[in-house]
Amino acid sequence: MGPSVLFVEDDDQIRLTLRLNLEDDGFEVTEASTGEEGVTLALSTPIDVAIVDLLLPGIHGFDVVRAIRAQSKIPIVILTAQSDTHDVVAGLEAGADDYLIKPVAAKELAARLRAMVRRNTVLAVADEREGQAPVLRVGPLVIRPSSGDATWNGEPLPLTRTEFKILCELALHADQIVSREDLLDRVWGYDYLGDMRLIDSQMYRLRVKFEDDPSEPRYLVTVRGMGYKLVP
Amino acid sequence: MSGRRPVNLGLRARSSIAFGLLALVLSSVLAGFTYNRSRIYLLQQRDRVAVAQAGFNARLLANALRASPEGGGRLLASVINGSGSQPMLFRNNTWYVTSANIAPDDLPSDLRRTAIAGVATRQRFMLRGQPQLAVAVPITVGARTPTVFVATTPLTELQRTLTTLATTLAAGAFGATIIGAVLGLYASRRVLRPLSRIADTAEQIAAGDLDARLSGLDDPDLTRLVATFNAMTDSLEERIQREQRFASHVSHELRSPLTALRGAMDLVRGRGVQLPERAQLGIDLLEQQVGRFERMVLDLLEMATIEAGAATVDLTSLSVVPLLKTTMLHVGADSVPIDVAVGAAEARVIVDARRFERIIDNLIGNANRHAGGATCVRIIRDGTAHRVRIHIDDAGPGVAPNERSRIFDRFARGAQGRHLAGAGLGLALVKEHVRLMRGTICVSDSPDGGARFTFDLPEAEAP
Repeated sequence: MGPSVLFVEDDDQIRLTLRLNLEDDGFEVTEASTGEEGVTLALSTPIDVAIVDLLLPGIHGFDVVRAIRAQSKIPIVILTAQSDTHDVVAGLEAGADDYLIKPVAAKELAARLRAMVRRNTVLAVADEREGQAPVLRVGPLVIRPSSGDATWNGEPLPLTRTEFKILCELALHADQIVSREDLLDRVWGYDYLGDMRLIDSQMYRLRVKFEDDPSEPRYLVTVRGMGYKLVP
Repeated sequence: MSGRRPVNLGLRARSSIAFGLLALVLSSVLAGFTYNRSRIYLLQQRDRVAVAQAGFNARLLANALRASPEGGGRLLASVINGSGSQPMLFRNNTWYVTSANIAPDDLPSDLRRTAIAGVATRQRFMLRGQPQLAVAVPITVGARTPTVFVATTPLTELQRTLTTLATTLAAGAFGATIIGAVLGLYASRRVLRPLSRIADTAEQIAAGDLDARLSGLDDPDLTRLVATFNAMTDSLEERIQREQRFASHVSHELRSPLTALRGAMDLVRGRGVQLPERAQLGIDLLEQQVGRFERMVLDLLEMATIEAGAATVDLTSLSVVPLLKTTMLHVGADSVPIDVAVGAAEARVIVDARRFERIIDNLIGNANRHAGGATCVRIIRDGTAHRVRIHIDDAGPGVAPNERSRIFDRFARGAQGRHLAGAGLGLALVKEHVRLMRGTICVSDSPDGGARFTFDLPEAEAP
């Protein structure tokens, strides 16, 4: 059985054509035609990834993203009709992991969704070592890639899947600079070269979770013009 | 006169010059008047003192002469002392002198003649560069020939006083001129300050800050201007917001059916269903037209956004070689060879990756449609200009020199519709994307025989 997708979209015909395409690509699609329905389904059914259209009747896509994100770690991809507005940034800041602009090619949508639900590289490395569950420690951060949980000073750190992947990549290269291009490539796993909005919004949300002062980060440091570094 | 171009001075410079000139004229008139009055007064006073002194000395001398009529020079020396004046006595057709500093010949001849004629007189004259005052007093001591007493006083002290006064007054006038000019500058600046505030606010608005308003100008003379300005800005903001809302709705309304259309098309393609030949032909045509329609709608929406001034440019510093490689892959042109010039391999550019992809997609698509595909994409780094240039070459028919600037116009078509058939907005958009990233674009001849499209981007500093 393929990955299950929740598709929140009010336009019946878009929902139908994209659902059929996704099903052809091996996804199992659950549909929701309103934001309220989408939030209910996302929190009551086992879902691997959610696609949320931004312009919905009733509650707006941003609120759908926020409501799902408040209780769930699943990756969220937003669908928007405009590339050039602040919608993309606002959606990412609300908690989305990726975005797509309408009209969208079915193949690209499928590729992005697969990248979203793909297991992260660190976990793959752990599997290769046959059952050894490596533990990554960087300062107060402890990550167990195999079980998918992380702690900060011993306290459980609630992370979305994308945030978890980012922290794994940075922890694997602790105290080294990881370029934004490399992060995009390894975490989003598709050719996202140059789309820094994705990374910046995630970094901001990560900092809020464990830095004392997110505007003056002590652990998750930006190295200007180079990338990011996780400092022990 | 007619050949001279009027010098265009600013309001501040003109006001400063006018104030300065006014101050110069006023202070010069005042200084001239003061100097003249002072000079006349001081000279008159000096004359009076000299005349009184000479009269007194003449009376002393007359008494002495009466006592010893043959006294001559020695008598002169004994009677006259002090007072800084040089005495002289004319008696029995002889001049008696006590000082070597002055001789009778030094006296002006007019004075001598008048004095010998027995008339009291006084005259100012120059002696070896020094101003002198000579006072002649006739003495009557019953002689047949006239007896005259002459006292000459140097006016050097007075001259020095007058020079000092003149210097002081001139300095005062100069100072007043400067102060006037500064005052003019200050006054005009005060007057112009609200204008520069207005200019600053207008600049802010032009730069996209539609919330900027004039405030803090509580001068009652400016109330109307401020109100009009802010009302104008309000209506401008409202209009722009309305247009943006409209563009957003249009975008949504056009993209939704496109999304469904594209999805349905993908569905047919993805299934790989075998259709009868004629049906397959119809599907192929449909797919091509959907693609063309989609491109046109997206181009129009993009152009509308740029024209509305609502385009946001997401600039980041990226390594140009991987950027180009990924982009070529995205637009399905990874078979076109990429030639990286010496020194360009590590170059980084300041770029909006999405706009970069639109440029490459359009230029490659253009080459595919009109020139049988691009033959090579070259990256060249211009280290001195801090720019990275990208050439896209083809081996097609090229672009005639007289069409080279026109092909970037919207809906322009080349001769016989050759270069832009169906493209319409493509190259115009390419030009806009390049411009938004502070680059330039042009077309020339390719070494491969066709057209060469060249655009450049600012180079990012090495991290």
